[in-house]
Amino acid sequence: MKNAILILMMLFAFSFALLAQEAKIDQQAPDFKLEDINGMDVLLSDYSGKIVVLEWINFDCPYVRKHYQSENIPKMQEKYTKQGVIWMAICSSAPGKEGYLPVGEIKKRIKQYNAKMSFYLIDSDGKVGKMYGAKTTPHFFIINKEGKLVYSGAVDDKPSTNIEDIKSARNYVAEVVDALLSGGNPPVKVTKPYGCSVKYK
Amino acid sequence: MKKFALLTFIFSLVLFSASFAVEKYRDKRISIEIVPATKVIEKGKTNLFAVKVKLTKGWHIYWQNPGDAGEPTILEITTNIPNQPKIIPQYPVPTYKNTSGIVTFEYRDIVYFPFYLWIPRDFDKKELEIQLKAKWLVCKHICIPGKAVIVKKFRIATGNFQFQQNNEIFNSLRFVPKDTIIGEIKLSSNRALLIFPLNFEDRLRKVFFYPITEGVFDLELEPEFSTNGNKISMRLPFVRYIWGDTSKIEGVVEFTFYNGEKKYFITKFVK
Repeated sequence: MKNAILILMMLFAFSFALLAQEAKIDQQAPDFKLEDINGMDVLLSDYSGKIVVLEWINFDCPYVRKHYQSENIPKMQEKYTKQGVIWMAICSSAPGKEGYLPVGEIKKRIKQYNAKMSFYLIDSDGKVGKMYGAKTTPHFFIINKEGKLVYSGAVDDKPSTNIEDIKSARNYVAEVVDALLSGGNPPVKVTKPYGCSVKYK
Repeated sequence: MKKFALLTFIFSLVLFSASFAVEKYRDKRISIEIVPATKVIEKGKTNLFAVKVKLTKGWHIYWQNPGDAGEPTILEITTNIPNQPKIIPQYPVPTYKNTSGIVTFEYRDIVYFPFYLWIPRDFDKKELEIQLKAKWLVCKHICIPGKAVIVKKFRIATGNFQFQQNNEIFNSLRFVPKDTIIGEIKLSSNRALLIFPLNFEDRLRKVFFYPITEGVFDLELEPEFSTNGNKISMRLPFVRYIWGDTSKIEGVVEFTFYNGEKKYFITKFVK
């Protein structure tokens, strides 16, 4: 009986710890499991030892479209995944809200934009989005090889929907990933994310 | 290919037309114009005007700090008055909106952004020309950015006229904070204590802080407040990822009293 109570208490404590997880800069990035558009379960901890980019996405948001139509984000995805970076695009739009698309439509858009993310993950209950504090699309979180969250913020410093702005923008994501790939420290840790609000349920 | 070319042409046309100066900007979602508070514009006086923004039902724009998402509404006024510097109209207190944990500061329906203009006695033009450069993000289920240059000319009175005023603009002044108070800020690891050197005779029911400085405070939680002699203190939790400057906090504080009255102040905090 005592053992049963002890096990129950441990289970309770474990589930509470899971619920209480919250992503914070310079701390271990909380683990999650989400299904991708091919029906595969993707576990963040399976990619420990790798640099992981989490990108909150909503293909119907004009700010996201700016970076996909210009191929700014697809080119980064291609460049960095070739160097071993894991790029997870996460959609936290709830069913019926902007950005929540059928799998066929998502695949069509990925092809249309020549996107090269490692995974497109569905987070329709918004649990992972809220755990990381994702506010906008796009909103980036970058995890280093040690599993620590080292960057949260915008893709760049030009909060607009104008494609022309990309040329003169400071690309924070590229700067952080380049620094991590060369074994250095990210030049910036936190910036203001800009874009559409995440369409949580 | 033809379809793409046509779409590009239409898109360019929209962009091109948007950059032209108009007397009033209007589309399906938003209309923007410059309106005088009085029918007569006079020299040797301070005249009150406003940028009037009318939003179609369901659509909104954002305050100078949009909150967790969105973009600020940017308004800049210039005139043909010599040596008149650029004017930023006053922003009335916005509406707080919490959508599934994403907090935004919004304007809906009709909103007036008032501004005052002193016209010198020796102003030698017959007409006062006011130019507004406006930039906004208007949202409903989707967000659409926009910008416009609006130019309006007002005839300057030369005789005595019957004084008529636009009461809507004068009423809107109630929602514009006028006075600035310098407060004190004490920072701890997870929150800030804002201290106002204020004492009200009426009993306070609620204190709310609209931060102009972005990226410091968690906007979702209602601040706790306490009164002590000639000071009002408010505790505000920090946002999870602070990217704003904690050494220069500015905002608008809203005091709500038990009699329903509200008072607004622009506040600046120093460490």
